[in-house]
Amino acid sequence: MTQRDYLDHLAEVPLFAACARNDLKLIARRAENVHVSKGKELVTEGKPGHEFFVIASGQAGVKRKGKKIATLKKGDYFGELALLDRAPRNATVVAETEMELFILGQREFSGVLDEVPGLGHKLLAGMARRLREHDAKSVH
Amino acid sequence: MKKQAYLERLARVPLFRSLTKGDLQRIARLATPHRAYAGEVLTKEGRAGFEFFVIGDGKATVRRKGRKVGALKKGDYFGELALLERVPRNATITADTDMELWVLDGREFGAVLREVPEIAVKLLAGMAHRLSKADAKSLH
Repeated sequence: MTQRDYLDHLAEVPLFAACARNDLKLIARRAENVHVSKGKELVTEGKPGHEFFVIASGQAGVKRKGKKIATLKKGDYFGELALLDRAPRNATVVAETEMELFILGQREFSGVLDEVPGLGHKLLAGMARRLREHDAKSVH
Repeated sequence: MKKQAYLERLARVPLFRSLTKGDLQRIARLATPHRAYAGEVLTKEGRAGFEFFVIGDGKATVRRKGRKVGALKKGDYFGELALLERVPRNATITADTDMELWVLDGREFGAVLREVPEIAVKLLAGMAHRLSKADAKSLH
């Protein structure tokens, strides 16, 4: 893939959609582009987590205490909670198809958050939505 | 308040601690100080919310559907969920004492997130912690 194709590819991810070309270049430099096969366990509940994942293609299942609780697909991301909270992974995520991922390690993730300000805002909005869904559930 | 004293007060708030002087000045320019009286309603559940609050001094109570669900004190902040998601307030917050607050409206909050990425990262860490706790609770 040429650098240009690669940047276009990154720009297709909703999380990065509003990023300027220079921001995409920076993310491209920091992120690792990885292909995994079906069945690969990407994060393991209870284990420490050191990576943030963005799904470029394919699908993954999220399990907590062995029960499937969600499906993640192209454009979704995961892994940020353990990085930000420095807590163990709160779920297990397994590839349900072949997948292409962009992976940022702890240090790269922090670097990208510092250098691409719009990203922090987007992640915050995503987390706010999840929190609200919890709040709504816990009141009823 | 003299500018210097004002910056020093801001610097004592945990959310703003460890910021450079330039970043503090940026926040000081954007935030509006507000003195709330005991009994003042700061956010109202179900209503639209347009401000983010940081508590410089004083105490407040968080109620959801009339039931007390939390207490806030000096150094705490609130109001970011409704701003990030453009949804109604999920709780009513009432001042228990006279309070000293810093208030940012949606535009100012967005500007702080853009201009001071460290704040976005701190807010992300705070939210990640809340989400982890909420996730853990929803299992039991």
